[in-house]
Amino acid sequence: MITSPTARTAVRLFLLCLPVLCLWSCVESPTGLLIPEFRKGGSLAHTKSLLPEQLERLEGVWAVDNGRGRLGDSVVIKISGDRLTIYARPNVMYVQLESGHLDSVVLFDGYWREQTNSNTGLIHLSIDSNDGAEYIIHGGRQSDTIRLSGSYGQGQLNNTDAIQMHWVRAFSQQARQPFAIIAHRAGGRTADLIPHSENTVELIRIAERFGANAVEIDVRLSVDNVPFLYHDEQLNPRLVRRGALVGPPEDYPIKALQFLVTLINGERIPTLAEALDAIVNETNLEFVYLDIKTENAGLLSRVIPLQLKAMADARAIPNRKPLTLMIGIPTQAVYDEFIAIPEHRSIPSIVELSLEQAQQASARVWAPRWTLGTQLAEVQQAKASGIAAVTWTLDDDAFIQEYLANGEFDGFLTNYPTLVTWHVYMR
Amino acid sequence: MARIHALTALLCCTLVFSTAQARSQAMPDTVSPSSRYTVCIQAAGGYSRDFSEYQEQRFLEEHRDKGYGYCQIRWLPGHLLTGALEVGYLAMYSVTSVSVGESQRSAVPIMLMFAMEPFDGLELSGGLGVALLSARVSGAVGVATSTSTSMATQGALSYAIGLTDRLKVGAEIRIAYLDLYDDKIFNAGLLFRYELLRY
Repeated sequence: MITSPTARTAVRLFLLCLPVLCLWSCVESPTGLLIPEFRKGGSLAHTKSLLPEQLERLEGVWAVDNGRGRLGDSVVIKISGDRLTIYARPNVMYVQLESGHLDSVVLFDGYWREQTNSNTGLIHLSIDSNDGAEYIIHGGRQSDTIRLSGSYGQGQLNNTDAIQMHWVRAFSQQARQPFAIIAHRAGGRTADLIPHSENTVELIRIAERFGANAVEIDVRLSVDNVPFLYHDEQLNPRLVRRGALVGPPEDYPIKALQFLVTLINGERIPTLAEALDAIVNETNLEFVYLDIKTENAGLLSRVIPLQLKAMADARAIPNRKPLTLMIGIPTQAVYDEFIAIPEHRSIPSIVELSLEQAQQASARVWAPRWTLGTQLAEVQQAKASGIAAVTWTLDDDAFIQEYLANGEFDGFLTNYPTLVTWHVYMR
Repeated sequence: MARIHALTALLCCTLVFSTAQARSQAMPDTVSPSSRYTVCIQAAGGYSRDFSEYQEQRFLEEHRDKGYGYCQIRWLPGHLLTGALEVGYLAMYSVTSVSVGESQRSAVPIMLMFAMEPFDGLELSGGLGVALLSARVSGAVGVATSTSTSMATQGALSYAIGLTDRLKVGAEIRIAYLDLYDDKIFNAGLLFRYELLRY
């Protein structure tokens, strides 16, 4: 029997804590972000879709008259993949729009999202006939004023806040210069609540909507020697739903990975061949950074044939932008394996090690880490030897601005391609 | 779920502190009259149910009703608190499909457990440790295995009666939580406790 008051208290504490412990363990963390969707048959139901040449008349820098709290003073509007995207600076905000015209009014429906938080909602915009719609639809002499106005709301709510902006100027010559906006992990990190899981075919298909003209994807090798896309060393709750498999994905055959593993937003793990097929046939991406995430012997010998085939397939598609796939070389071990390949000089590669090693490997691109600074002298030296330079992984607003103003990189690898797009096209 | 481990650690500390305090007060009825320290071995086994939320398995046959077993070396200081080192096996979950074969998940928890007996024969215990998680796929795709390590927390309630001077037999229920994949497993089974040594 227990007679000590302290011991009795301890027993009571224990009995109290045990059910709390059990209940606590059942609490699930919220995952994912629901992107709101307009009802089918919304304001675009009876409109005629705008053609690309009509949408191009909207491209440029716009001044925000109403809604600066959300959008900032200026936004960039640009055709991005199959959508029209508005790029804003505060909170890495973007707006993706579908469009149509009815008589002499241009209408837009879509959603907005702030990538640094979970704010998102619906947005509806229009251009009236006396605000430049005639010019957008029919062309001819540019109207004096093009004005977009409408409203947006939080979540599925609509019409809670007014928004208005007017066209200021077309993109500058500097903004039109080639610049690689490389979407990290095919569009961003899963943790940033992007619409699809990172490193998936679904995300690759929409990468251009975020302003990217290139993607970086992470390549690993299954136990039965099939290259597939996955970033982390382990199957973990950050990237996958709980399933029958645990441990490193490379321990399993590809069929088991594709059948038994579900990524956090419901997709399956894609093979590299599936991802490249989507890039070639379903996008106009110009550059793919194949980040070799493993030092498994034999991965390069299986990736390179897929790389060369995808580039040949892209060349065979009429009107497709030229596509270059590069083997990413992040470590000394991968570098050693790469330069041991007799024909490595003819294989497009991107070296993250020193500039000397990039030159020795005849790499097309040298990719130093952004924290090393703008490295102006080295970047100029790389360019003098015919090697482009990109830096990774640049997400900070102030540094993006500084690196564009004071650096000479040919591109940025970023989790926030919409923010880089805003900076590039505001120049 | 670091907070669960923190809570369990706090609980264990409370038990250790309160027992130490009871010992310092030298209350005679918290001390075994015959001996001061006892070393026991406890073995248990039975039914195991994985009640974690798994991804939807539309084309797979799912099995969650499994078995468990463990062995503990227990040290009873003759006061309220018992300390134990436990090694066990938890069969957790399996799925079968024609195209892949069978995939099984299991764990080998290695736990430091603390227990107390508030009423004669009734024992409450809780502990912290690590679990070696493993998965094995076998069938149409060949055989593949992999492992991973997780923090583990466990709570148990048992009741045992003495069959002989040294042997006790009883029943228990347990809940284990493995934090890497947020696994929650319920166990119910029989236990056997045997006193190896008194000193």
